[in-house]
Order: sequence, then C-alpha cells, then structure tokens
Amino acid sequence: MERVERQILEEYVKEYHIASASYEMMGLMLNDMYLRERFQLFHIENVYIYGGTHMGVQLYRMGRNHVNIKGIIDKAGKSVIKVPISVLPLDTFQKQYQNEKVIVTSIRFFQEIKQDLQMFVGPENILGIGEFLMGVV
Amino acid sequence: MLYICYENLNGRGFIGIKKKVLAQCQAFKKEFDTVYYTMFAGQILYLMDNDLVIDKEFAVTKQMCNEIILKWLIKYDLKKTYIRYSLSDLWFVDFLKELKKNKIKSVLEFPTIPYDNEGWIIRPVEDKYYREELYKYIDCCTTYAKYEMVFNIPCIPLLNGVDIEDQKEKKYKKKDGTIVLLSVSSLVKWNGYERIIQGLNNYYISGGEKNIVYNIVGNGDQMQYYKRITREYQLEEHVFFHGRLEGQELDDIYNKSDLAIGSLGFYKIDLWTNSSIKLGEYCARGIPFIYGYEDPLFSEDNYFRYQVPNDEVPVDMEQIIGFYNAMYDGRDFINDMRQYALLHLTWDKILQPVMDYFI
Repeated sequence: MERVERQILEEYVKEYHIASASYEMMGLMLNDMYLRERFQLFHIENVYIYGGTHMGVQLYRMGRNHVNIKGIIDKAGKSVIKVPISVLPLDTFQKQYQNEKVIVTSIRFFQEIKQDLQMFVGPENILGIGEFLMGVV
Repeated sequence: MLYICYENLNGRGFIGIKKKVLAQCQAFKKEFDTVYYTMFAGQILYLMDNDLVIDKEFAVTKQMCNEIILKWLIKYDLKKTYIRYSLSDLWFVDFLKELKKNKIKSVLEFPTIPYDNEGWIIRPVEDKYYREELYKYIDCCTTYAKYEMVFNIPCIPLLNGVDIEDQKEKKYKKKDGTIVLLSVSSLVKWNGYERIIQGLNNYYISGGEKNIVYNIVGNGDQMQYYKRITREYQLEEHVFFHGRLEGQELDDIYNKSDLAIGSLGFYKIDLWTNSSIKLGEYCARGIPFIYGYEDPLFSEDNYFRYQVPNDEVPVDMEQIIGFYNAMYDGRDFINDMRQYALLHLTWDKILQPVMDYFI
C-alpha cells in the first residue's frame, strides 16, 4: 500500500470511529438516570459545555435537569439549535470562568480544544464527552 | 509487564472478563514485580493497576491506542506484553511489528477459538485477512482449548482459571422437597438456558410432581426470549429472573440453590470444547453443576458435574433429579469441589507455562 493510500485509509477509519462514538454518546445521553449518576460520580454541580453542536445541545437539554449549566462555549459563538442559555465565545468565557468543570463535546477536535482551554482551565477540569459518559471515575 | 486489553472492562457484559483480567494480573504479579493493564472507554485509553488509574490519554482509533501503548512501555519500563486479542487489522499487525522490533516479548491470548460464528465481528473480511499475518510478528499465543497452533502461531493451551478469593464457599442447603437450579451469566445465545425451561415444561406436562425452581441471574440479549417462553409455558411459578446480582445478594442466592447451570448452547456457535470461567466459579463455590460441552477442566472423575449432550434437546428433568439425589446423599461435595478448585483452577497454576515462556 502506498503511503498516501494508507493515510487516506487512516482518515476514513478515524471518521468512522468518531461517527460511531458520537452515535453512542447521543444514545447514552437519552438515559436521564444514567446522566444524573455520571454528574454525581464526577461531583459536578456547575458546568460549562464546550461545543454548540447537536451533542452540546443534547447534553444541555438533558443535563439541565441535574446540574447548573452556566453556558455553552463555542468558537463561533452560536449553537446549531436555539437554546435558552448563553452561547459564549472563548474570550467571554475566559472572563467569567471560575474553576468549574468544562465538558468538551467535540471528539474530532478534543485535543486542540483542550490545548486552548488549558491556558486558563486546569487539565483536571477538562472532560471529553466520552470520558464524562463512559470513562473511569 | 503490560496486559493489553482494548475493551471497556467497566462496560455492560464485561463483568466476567474484567474479573478474569484482574485475576490473571494478580497471578502474573507473583512472578513479575509490576503488572499493569490497559482498558479503553469513552475515547480514553487507561493504564490501570487493580482498578486504579495510573495514566490515561485521549484516543479515538486502535492505531492511536497502540501509539500510546508503545509510549507507555518505554515510560514505565515494561518489557513484556500479554495481549488480549481483539480482532486483526492493519494497525494491529503494525503494532506487533513494533513490539518485535523493540524486543518486547509478547504473548497473544485468543479468548475463544474458533470465534467466527459468535456473531459479534463487525468486519470479518478484514480480520480474516490480517490474522494470517500475525505469525510473522508474534512467537507465542494462548487459548482455552487444546490447540498446538492458532493461525500458524505456536500455542500454549490453557484452561480458564478462577479467583478463589472472589468466590465465597456456599452454605450447605438441606433437602427440603424443592430442587433449586441457578444460572449466573450475561445471558448470551450460547448459554442455551431455554433447554432448561423447555425441560421443565416437558416434565410438568408429563405429570412431574417434584417442585423444581430455576433462578436466572444476570442480564443480556436472551433475557426477553427466556421471559417469553416462561410465559408461554406458564412456568412463572418455576422460573424467576433476578437481573444482575453481586456481593451479599449473589452469595445469598448461591446459598439457596442446589445445582448450577453452565452453558448448554455452544452448538449454536459450532463450539464443542471450551474452558469456561463459569464452571470454575461454580466449582470454587461448591455447587454441583450441569453443562453441555466438553470442558477440559473436568473429567469423569469429578462426580460433582453432570454433562448433557451439546444440542438443542430439552434437558431431561428426571436426569437432573437423579443427579440431585446423588449429590445430596450426605457427601461433602462442597469441600471436595473447593479443594479441586484450589489444586487445579487457580490462575497462578494455569498461567505457569506462560510465565515460564516469559522468563
């Protein structure tokens, strides 16, 4: 296999895994009791959600029954579906951040987002959606 | 040593596998100072030691997992790997190549051979193609059946062991006119417990008078099927579903039971010989058991077992009653079974050939 062909295959595989994991996460978030348990396991009372995508909106809609969601952070400053909560660009979020947990709902860009956030958010406060829903506590 | 596992050991249906991995790690620790294991959950690869997180990193694909593992082998100075097989692909072959290049001594464990008919393989063509490449990069494998070679890799055949400390010896239950059967499992298709339910139906239709109760512990794909046939046969007074039980609740139901049921449906996946963890657990607990396949852990010398044919025929309850009467005639089968488990079924004994390979 040529090197470029291998890289193309690797990209397809990565996309497949992201899609598969996203489907699984969306499904897990439909389980209200499970979600409550996960917030309790991580001792979360106040939280920000990073990502105004469908995953972020889903987490907001289900999570607001259990914890105080202080805002959705999005680089573009908007969400795919209108939500009754502030959607904050990164610089606005930085000004108001007070040591809460941040759940990052993007799997594809998790590492880049984590790097951006780590400028003012402690690494222990940054949770990927996968780790939040399925990880070891 | 690093025990490599690509699965979410805390996930649904993995209780048995997690117990096995932890027990194997404990056994390996008797020979090697440091034994960590990996697990993959929620796009995080974890490095674990007895349920404690040592390290963790974000990963989406198996390729990313393997890159992290190679990094950890250097970071934690681990020179041996025991790999729980999780299907072959291009990147797994690359990974084994890297291990060999870096002189990491590795053993590949195939949890089940053959596995093609188990029904869970997502990309069978990919696995069938790349598994034929494995022998070039791995010098030793293990599986729980009597094979000398698997996919052209020399094989150390093993038997499934049991963590004795995890299996509390059951209390002796006196004869009280009722025979209580028990199965504890993740309710998968090859459990074949419908053969017991159908056997009960046949028994009572024929005028059977003995009260036989069957407790099904666990959750899984077959739950609804078993519940449906229980209703159809009107056996709600004889078949009870308990869901998942652990700790004291599990110990209690063992104490209230007379005979345990192992897998009766391996014919469905074309498996005729298997070394099952479950029978080892039953043995360690001291509960005589019924099963439907060849298990090299046990022989005809073991009077506390009753083997039925590996097919779809309902289990004959008259035979079960006969087995029950033979067991509960005053002999101390609990002690005999426990001693047998201690002598033959513990992981440190079973894994000794693997440890010898590594040394």
